[in-house]
Amino acid sequence: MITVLLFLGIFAFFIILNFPIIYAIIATSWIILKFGAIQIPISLIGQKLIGGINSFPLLAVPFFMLAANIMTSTSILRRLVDFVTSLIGFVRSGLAIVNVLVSMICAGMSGSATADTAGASAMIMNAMIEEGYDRPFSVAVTGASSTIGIIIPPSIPLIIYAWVANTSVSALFLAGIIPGILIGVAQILLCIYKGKVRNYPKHPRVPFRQIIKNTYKAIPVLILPIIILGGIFSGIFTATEAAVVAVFYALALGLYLRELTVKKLFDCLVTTGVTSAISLLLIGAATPLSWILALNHVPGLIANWFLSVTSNPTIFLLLVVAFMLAIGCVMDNDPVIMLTTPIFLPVATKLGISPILYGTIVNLALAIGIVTPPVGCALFVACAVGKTTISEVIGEFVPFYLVMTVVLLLLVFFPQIVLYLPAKFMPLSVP
Amino acid sequence: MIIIDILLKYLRALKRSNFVEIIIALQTATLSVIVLLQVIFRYVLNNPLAWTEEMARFLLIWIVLLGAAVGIKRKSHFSLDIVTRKFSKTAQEYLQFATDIFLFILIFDVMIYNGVYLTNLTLRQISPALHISMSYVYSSVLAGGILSCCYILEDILSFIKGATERNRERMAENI
Repeated sequence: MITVLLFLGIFAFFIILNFPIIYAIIATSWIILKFGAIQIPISLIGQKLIGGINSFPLLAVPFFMLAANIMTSTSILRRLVDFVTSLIGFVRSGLAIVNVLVSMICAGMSGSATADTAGASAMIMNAMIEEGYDRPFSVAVTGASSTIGIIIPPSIPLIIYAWVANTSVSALFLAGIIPGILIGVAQILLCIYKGKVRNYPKHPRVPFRQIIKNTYKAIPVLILPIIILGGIFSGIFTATEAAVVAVFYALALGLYLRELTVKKLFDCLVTTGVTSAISLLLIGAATPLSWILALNHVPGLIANWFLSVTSNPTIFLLLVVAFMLAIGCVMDNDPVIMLTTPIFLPVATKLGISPILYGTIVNLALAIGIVTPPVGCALFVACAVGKTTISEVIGEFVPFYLVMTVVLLLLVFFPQIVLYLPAKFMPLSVP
Repeated sequence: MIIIDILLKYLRALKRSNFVEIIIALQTATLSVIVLLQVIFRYVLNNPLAWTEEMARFLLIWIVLLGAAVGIKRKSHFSLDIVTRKFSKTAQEYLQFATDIFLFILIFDVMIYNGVYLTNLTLRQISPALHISMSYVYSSVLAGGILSCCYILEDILSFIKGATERNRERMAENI
């Protein structure tokens, strides 16, 4: 137990003092190797770091980011927004529903949540505020719906989880579809309810000819999720290959629309390189640490402790959910997945929980974490784009936390919801 | 003091130039094209290429290590400031200084000192598909380390310079 506390202590010390998390992870390994009892050369860190990144499935991370960046730098998403607005905008709190639906469709093309918040959702948020929705609610819908981006596949946290857990990315992606739709539906119901109570406006009905026109213009955008998801699920492409096809599809679309300049493309490439480097270096940094932890039997110690508390899979999952919701408030989802999976997943499998189920539930719990204060990247982006502060909007966020947590608990108690699609389409992946 | 000024001049020039960004952009573009080639050759031409997968992985490693260095330059690595933002401004600056010094030592030991060692160690190790020395891959740790250390050193020296100048002003006032 002393080793566990020592690890935690060193790590927490760095984190609290505003040390970059990735380097705090490297520093923990470094201190343990340098001053620990076991004699291991420091060069192990570099070696394991390279070994961690040296993986073909991880290439999907930069590609999905690049595809999303190229799409947001053109007006392609505008067409999607117009299309969805003309279909459903005329009902009460129509634009709020459009906001959620567009997030769901964008989730089928990009793997991250913040790209969605800053892109299409920001457009709808401004339209909502102009139409008379109160600003905090508009920001809350935008922030909360962007979490769907990492639940509905493709999803970068799920790619990272699949790498650590050594499971199939495609099966995890399949498992994410129904929970993602459930979250979307729950949020739409909440929007309808709020619209009734507060009498939110309806968007003017669009003439039928305009609907046809908008649909026609949106077809090139709607094809993209079909290529990505269809390609992965039919087994034609791996996730990485689907992602690279998405990149060139977005590129071709941008060039065809004559909106993509060399300058914009260069910026997309640099942003993609740097942001994906930061996500992937995390994997590289956590690999030596997990190795050292395993060498010190830390996962085993924690597993034994868990098994002494409970041997009921549902209670274990509830504990995990509580832990992830709490830690999700202060930490970003990728580091949490990297650091906790090697420790908790063996316990889960020992209790008979499928790695697919575990991953989906952890991903969903941490997705809520990206819109909870004090630290939540989608919350920050939504507030920045909506020009408000967290304390002003937080009250409007609470109902969204509640409905999302209800969906999360539903998945814990009825795991069939998660496992239905993977079991149907990829029976080998679900034990 | 003169040494610091000269060093700072070069380090700031390095920080201002965006040649690392250009390399990253080129690498990301090449990476996309290589994997696209892989898809085309496998599914359309039914003649899979042997080298694309390995080359893509090696490029990704380079992008990650150079990109992480740029992340240090742009201060875009995530960190937790909920505790430290309550500190006074001077305390935050000194904490940042201490953090930078520790980060410099850490990166110097892990990525530069041991990066040289790893590059030497893998000199004769040949990659299975491309038949190149693995040093080409492992030297990315060294390159990323050197860049990161330069960027951090600029912050450290700027802080020292600022602090000494403020001290001198205070002394002048006292006199």
